[in-house]
Amino acid sequence: MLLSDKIKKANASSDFVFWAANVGKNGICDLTRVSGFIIDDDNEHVTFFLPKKLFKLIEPNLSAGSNMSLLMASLKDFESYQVKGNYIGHKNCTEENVDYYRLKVLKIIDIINGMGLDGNNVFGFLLEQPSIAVTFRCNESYLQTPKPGTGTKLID
Amino acid sequence: MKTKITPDMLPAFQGVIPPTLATSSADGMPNVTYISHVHYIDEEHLAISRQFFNKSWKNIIENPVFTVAVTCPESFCLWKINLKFVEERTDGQVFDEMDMVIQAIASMQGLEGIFKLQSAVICKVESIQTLVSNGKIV
Repeated sequence: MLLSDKIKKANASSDFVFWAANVGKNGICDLTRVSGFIIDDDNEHVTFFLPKKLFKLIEPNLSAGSNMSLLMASLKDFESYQVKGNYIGHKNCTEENVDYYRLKVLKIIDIINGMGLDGNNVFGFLLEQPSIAVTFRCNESYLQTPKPGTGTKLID
Repeated sequence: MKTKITPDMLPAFQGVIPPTLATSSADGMPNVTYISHVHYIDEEHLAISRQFFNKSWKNIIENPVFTVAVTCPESFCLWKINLKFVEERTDGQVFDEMDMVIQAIASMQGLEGIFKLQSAVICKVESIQTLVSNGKIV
C-alpha cells in the first residue's frame, strides 16, 4: 500500500506526536511514545525512531507477531492518522536519524513551552539515547481524528 | 509493577490530557487511538469513554484485555495501564459523571454536539507500569 498524502503532510508538520503499538503472546496490545518517523523512498516502508528504553516495551512482542501500528496526532487539534503494517527489522539509530528527529522533538518542546509548560519535562525524554530505528511495511492507513468518521480507511 | 491506582495518578483522570487506547483484534492486529476521557471509579476500576471508537470497541468485544496510556497534567508522569473489560453502562452515576466531563471537554474544544458519550466502558485494572517520571524514562 502506498502512503497517502495526508500521512506525508502529518509527518512534515511540526505539531504531530507519535505512538507505536504491537501485540504480545498474551494478546495484550502494548504501546509506546515514538520520537519521529520517516517514509522510505518507496512510499511503502516507514521507519520510526524511539529511545532504546522505550523500544524494550515492544521488543518482546516481536516474537509473537509482526503486526504494528503507528499513530500520529496533532497537539493542536487532535487531527490523527494511524498506519498499520508488518515489522521488517530494527537497528541502532544513526547520527543522521537522531539529527532528523531531534529537530522534530525540539519543535514539539517549543510548542509545549509556548503553552506555558515545561516542554522539556513533557517530551524531553524522547531525546534519550541510545535510540532505535524500527522499520515496518505499511498495509493500511486510517483517519483517526476523534470525530464521526474516525476509523475511515485512507485510500488516496 | 503495581496493580492499583495510587493518589499521585488521580490528576491523570481529570480529562486534561487525552489518553491513548491500544486494543488488539483476536488475530493480533493492534489499534491505537486517542480517547476523550478515562474516568476513575476506584483504585481497581476505571471507565473508558466510548464515543466514536468503532474498531476499538469491536476489538474489546473480541479480546477484552487492552492498554491505556495516561499522563498526569501536573507532573507529566506517563503510565501504561493494562485493563480488562468488565461491562458497558449507558446510565447511572458513572455514566452521568463521565457525560459531564465529556461535555466540558467538548465545550473547551468547540465540539458541542459532536462529542456525545455512547457508553461508559467499565474496566478492571490488571497492572500499571510507570513509563516516564520526572521527565525521564523509568
